[in-house]
Amino acid sequence: MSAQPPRRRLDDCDLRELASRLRAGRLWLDFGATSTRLASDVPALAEHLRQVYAQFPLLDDPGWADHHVRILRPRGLRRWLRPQAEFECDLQRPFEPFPADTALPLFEWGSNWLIGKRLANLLLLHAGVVERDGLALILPAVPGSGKSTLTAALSLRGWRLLSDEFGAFCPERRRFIAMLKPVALKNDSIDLIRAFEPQAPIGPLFPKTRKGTVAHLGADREAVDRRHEWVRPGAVVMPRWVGDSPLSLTPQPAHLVFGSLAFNAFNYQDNGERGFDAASYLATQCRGWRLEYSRLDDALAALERLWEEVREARAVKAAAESPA
Amino acid sequence: MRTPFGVRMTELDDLWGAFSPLTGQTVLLNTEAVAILEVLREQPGDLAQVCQTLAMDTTLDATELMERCAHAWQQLLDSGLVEPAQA
Repeated sequence: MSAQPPRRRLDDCDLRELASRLRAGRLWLDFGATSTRLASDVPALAEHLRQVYAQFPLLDDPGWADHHVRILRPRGLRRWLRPQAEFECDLQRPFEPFPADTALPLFEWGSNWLIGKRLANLLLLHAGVVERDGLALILPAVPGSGKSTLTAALSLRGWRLLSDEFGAFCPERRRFIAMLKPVALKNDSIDLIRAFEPQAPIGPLFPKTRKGTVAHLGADREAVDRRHEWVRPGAVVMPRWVGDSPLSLTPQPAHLVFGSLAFNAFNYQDNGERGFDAASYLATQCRGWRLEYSRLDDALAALERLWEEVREARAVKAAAESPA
Repeated sequence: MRTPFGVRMTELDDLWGAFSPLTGQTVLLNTEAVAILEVLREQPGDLAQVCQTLAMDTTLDATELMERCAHAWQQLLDSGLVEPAQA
């Protein structure tokens, strides 16, 4: 058996080569559940992508991409005066141009928008998802609740990141799959994560975006290499950051778990009865808790303890269901 | 009135989730509302008739049940979980 050649990653790629691939439309990003082919003539984008997609494989013409995206500098005077960048997919430009130096946030928001619009085969929960012991911890929340910060912190403490934004659940397989994009940190959460883990691979700061200052935390190598593995649902924790509050972790009834999954999902309505069946399955298979926290360390310690309970309960259930 | 074909329900501790294929809506229902749907699955009728049937299985009389179920009935109508029997 011949040895596989070492896989090249974006981090291994010379910037000039990456920029050249981008100009030629030959950069493929495989997020797990979906993939994008990207082209761009924005000079700074290659370096920014290399920082936040560092561990992603450098793919040579995989033959298929779900989305074909271009981030382009408009022609005319605006190419030189306060340069801008536009997001284009299938010859449509659904957004107003962004300043060219914020091409990465434009790509991230635009590609998230495409995922939310187009991936009808999966139920896309508005949730962070991380994995441990083969089980998914699902963190559904509304924007501003500290979901991404908590997901980022978990991913820096040994939980495998699947997604910070899209909990991608397949109703047929009844499993989660990664939608592995960089975790979008905003405003205070950027310094919070830097203090929490000084070695965290956080990309450049983008101040003055419509969501304030934004930075992206890249996924680690294991998360990237395992992004096609399906994961069973484990537990649902609805996080909420409340300044100066003591930590609380409170069991939730199934109807609140159901509501947190179904009514926050991006495409629940589009999935009709498939969506209902999927949310019902999750709400009846997973126990749920509400987590209020103000300190990340406390939250993580509480989730570690909780996970022991979840794992043991699953083991007991599996033993009861297995044939004697 | 009757429960349309394809209505889905799932038990969620004290409440129930219900999906209407007519409207695509999902609503959370209490036990009274689910009981109405189950009766209408078996036998179409109006709220008074449903409450007559339910009264036979409870200690409540039909009038009291009508009062308790009036809100649930409206919710079922609004969300497409019941439809005219001739539809």
